[in-house]
Amino acid sequence: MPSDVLLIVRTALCRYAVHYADLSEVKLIADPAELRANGLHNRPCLGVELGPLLDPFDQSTLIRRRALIVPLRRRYVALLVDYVDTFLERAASVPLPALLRERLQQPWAIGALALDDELIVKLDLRAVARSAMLRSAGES
Amino acid sequence: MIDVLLFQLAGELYGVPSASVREVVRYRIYTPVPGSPASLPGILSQRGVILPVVELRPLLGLALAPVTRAARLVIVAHQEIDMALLAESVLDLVALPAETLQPLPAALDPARARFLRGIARHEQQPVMLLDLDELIAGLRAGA
Repeated sequence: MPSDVLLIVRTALCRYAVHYADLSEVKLIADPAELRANGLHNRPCLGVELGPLLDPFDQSTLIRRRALIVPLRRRYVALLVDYVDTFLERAASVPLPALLRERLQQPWAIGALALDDELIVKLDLRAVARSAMLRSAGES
Repeated sequence: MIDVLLFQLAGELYGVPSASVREVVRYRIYTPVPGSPASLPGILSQRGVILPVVELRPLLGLALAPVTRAARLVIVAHQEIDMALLAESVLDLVALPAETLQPLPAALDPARARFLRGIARHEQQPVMLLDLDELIAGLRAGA
């Protein structure tokens, strides 16, 4: 698949665009606990709900989840979403307005694109995965 | 005369220099941006341009209220920065007599006073005039 492909993914409340190149795979999983217990490809795997990580009100009620697998150095982070809506090739995205970009408390949002009359935030999924891992390390 | 667009927040009357106002549009749901501060909660596309939405109430120490049908977005361009100010309602474009402009009361919370140029009067009501230079500086500095 070309490296400039974007995935449009859906949490309970939002849609986000992510770079397919940031992922090693996308898995349909019936039980997120399996990932945590068994790891992935002989490496530990941290499963984290993407929605509540970005917005505490964004809570999914679905059991079957799509896992966006982000490879980091010694482990994987599985960011769980409700659906993968579509793939977009060469989608035109723009940077966030400078006033906002300078003030982001986390380096997660890197741009935006218009799709179906909706503005969708583009995420740096590797930055999100690193934050999830740091947060998990801080909690344990 | 001071030409301003009058709008309301928390029942108070505010004025923004009309020379900086590009347009006023009905409120519509904006796209929240993860990790953004309360004063810059999201973005919206207006005529193909992506604008940051500015929520003035936390900056001015005002309570948030549910959005009503009267809510508007005031599209402002100042210092080469375009932004959409959330207003609970927009009243009118008016020319306020410059001689009614008064300094801010000393008792006003300095955190709030920072974003105001002064107080004028319109039909016996006080109008707090926004200082857009300070607003942009404050947003940049993390107010």
